[in-house]
Amino acid sequence: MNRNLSMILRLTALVASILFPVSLALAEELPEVIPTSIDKGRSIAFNRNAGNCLSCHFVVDAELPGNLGPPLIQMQARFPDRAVLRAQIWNAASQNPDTIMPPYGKHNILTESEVDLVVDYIYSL
Amino acid sequence: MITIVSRYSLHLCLVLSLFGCGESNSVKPGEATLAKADAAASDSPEVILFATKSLYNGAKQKDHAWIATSREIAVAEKALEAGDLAAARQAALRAQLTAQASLAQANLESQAWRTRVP
Amino acid sequence: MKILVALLVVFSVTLPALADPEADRLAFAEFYLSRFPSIELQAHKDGAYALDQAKREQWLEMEDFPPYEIAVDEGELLYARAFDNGESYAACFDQGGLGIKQNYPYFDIERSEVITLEMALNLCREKHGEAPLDYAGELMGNLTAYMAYTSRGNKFAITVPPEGLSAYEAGKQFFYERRGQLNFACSSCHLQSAGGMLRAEILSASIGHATHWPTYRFKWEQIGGLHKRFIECNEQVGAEGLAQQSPAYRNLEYFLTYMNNGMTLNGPASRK
Repeated sequence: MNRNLSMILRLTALVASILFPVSLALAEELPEVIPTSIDKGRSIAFNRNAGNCLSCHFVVDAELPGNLGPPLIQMQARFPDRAVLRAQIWNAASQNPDTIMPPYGKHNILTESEVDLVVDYIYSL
Repeated sequence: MITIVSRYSLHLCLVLSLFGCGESNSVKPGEATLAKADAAASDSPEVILFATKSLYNGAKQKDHAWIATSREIAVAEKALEAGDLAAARQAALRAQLTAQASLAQANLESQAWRTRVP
Repeated sequence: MKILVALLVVFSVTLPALADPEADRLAFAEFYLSRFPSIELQAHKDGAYALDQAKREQWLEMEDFPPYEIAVDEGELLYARAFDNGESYAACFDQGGLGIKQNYPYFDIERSEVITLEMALNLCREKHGEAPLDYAGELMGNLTAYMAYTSRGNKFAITVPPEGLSAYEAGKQFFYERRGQLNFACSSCHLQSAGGMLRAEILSASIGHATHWPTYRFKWEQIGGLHKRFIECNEQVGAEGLAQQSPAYRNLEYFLTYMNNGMTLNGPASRK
């Protein structure tokens, strides 16, 4: 919900900056919006050298996502317990030994706090 | 002497990795993290780095070394040269974690691969 | 009694090592036939281009001006050039070395190791007093491109003598073992997930992976051998690549090429 709102705001700002270039200069003087944990998690998830989730998962606003893993939608319905989602990202093999999902926590691909941020983001989808 | 140390470290790592495996089913994961390694390890980056290199060489001998380990070892060495002990220690700890995980992987995979043959 | 039990245990542990390559190959082929029921096995020699019509058409357009053509021409000249002692490569190979790639790699019983075509070329050079070529270099790429070109249309006929079983088995283990920080086996992508999309890339089947080397890869901007691709794959999953022509990679090539037995050679080729 939050993300939708911030998206609308960003789009509005983009459209406004195209229509009214002067207002962009004004906007630049305003203090920067502090990124939420969801924003931070999103950028880790989208980063090819970090989470790189889109290599395998469909995400609603992703360009050319892969399809090796299930689409990341309705995550709260699929994971009523947030800790189960976190465990899945930490080491998916603990639930399914045949999974090809990289063990992001177990293999230190992401740090503990990065995993938490990614969980925040994925849980918002 | 170096061989003995490296063998010893290998066993230590295997033991550590066993603990890691035992905990892997918990929902709140209990595997090795940087924070835990930080709390458990010696303060000296040189000591951590020495042990880590022998773990890394053990993984390399099994053709199972990770890029992340050699990258962090290089970062640690550079920081040591520059006299930044805190940065060296953090990089050495990161290298140690991946070196342990790569050896655990090599150990597990020496049998697990059979389950994937069609 | 205890000895008997111990023997039984040892036997049952070593049993999986008594591999049956032909049974493996049939199961391997069967896997891809059932994964891709509408694609005949031979089509997989074109890799991902066998699986996606749009990508295939783009690729066929590129092949109108094959980027490996110069390598084949250069390789032909190199191949014919005499060594300082007056001999040449032709003296080292059956049929003068033309149209023989389908028999490589093979297990050399005397040396007790897998010999790839690249290694055979360097052994030939050493035998005639020449310095070995760099496995990653252009000259080796050109020579093997020419030899592959003369072997086009032949079908792989790799054999595994009893002495070669452990090398074959080591290669098989490498293929199915997860490695690297990302924890992927060769088989994770090219067997278990073959046909799936990794972002916009389609994952090719391993049953065509041995047929088309060396390959001009646009990403590399040069022609390179199968081991260069092994290194790239290993590094993509966060594992350190091994040296080209290292024993582990030669064993992997041995297994992989055996799995490609019966497939038609179509090298050199181009890939994105």
